[in-house]
Amino acid sequence: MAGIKRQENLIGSCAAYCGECGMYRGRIYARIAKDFLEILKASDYADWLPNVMKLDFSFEDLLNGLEYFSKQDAGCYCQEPCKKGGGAPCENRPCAEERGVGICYECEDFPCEHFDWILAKYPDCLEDYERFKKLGLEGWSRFHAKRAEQGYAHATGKYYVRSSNK
Amino acid sequence: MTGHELVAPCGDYCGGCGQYNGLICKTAKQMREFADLYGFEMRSEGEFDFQQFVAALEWFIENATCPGCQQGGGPAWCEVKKCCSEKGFRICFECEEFPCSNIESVADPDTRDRYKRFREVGFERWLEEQAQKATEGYEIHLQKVLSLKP
Repeated sequence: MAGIKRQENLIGSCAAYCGECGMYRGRIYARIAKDFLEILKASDYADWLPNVMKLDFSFEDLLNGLEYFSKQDAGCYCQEPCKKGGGAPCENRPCAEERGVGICYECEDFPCEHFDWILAKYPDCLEDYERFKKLGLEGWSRFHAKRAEQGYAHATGKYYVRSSNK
Repeated sequence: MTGHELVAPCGDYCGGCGQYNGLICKTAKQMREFADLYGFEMRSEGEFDFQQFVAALEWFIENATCPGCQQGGGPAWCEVKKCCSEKGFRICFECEEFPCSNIESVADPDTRDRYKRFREVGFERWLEEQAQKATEGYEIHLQKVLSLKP
């Protein structure tokens, strides 16, 4: 289990736990893209598929897309936690800094209009907020760290298990 | 255990093929599930055609299946399958002419290793080993396990 300090570094201002993100250091999504690219190449699809049927999609765009998503410097590979410069620009981070709160959940105005886009996308945030109030920062961080270790990805709500031989 | 129906004439084990066992469909589905979650269509502009990419994923989710070589799957042009059935063998590895030019034309990098093992331990034991590897997620074309369990 990661130390509490490290866990706190992994919490974005918006209360998303970076360690649970499928993009964080390529833990899930980039792996899926790479897995898919490898299996397609190994099965020689590009050689035989266009010869046996007329495709209504472009095979080249499939391969280029998978390359894009596998890459470490683009696609869905986030190099650093949000607080260390990863993640997309947002209103939450500067606002939290200005107000001197670690995360939005600690703000007395929660949920304000800066949180609307997040709630629209992840309605389970309110439930998570209740969890935060109940468990406190440390317990709540531990909850997310554990789920992250189990391979959870927040955006899809699924668990992804690594094969033992990487 | 039977499982002989999962053995392709060329010595591939269909149960370990990502097209037969659904590994390819499942991976395409996993990819599709997050492909448009983070505004990637906009972020990837100029890199590839996102609509085509999604159409391709959907094609694979729906169509990348195979009933197995012995159930009418596999490539229609495969000479090995034809030859094996004419000679009355279940698998090329039983033929004394192995490796002939037919099998060379479709052989995987590890076909000879599989042949060697087949000769060492016999059909039944070999088949059990192939099935066991497939259960562990080993994909025969990739010659390894995917990094994530699908």
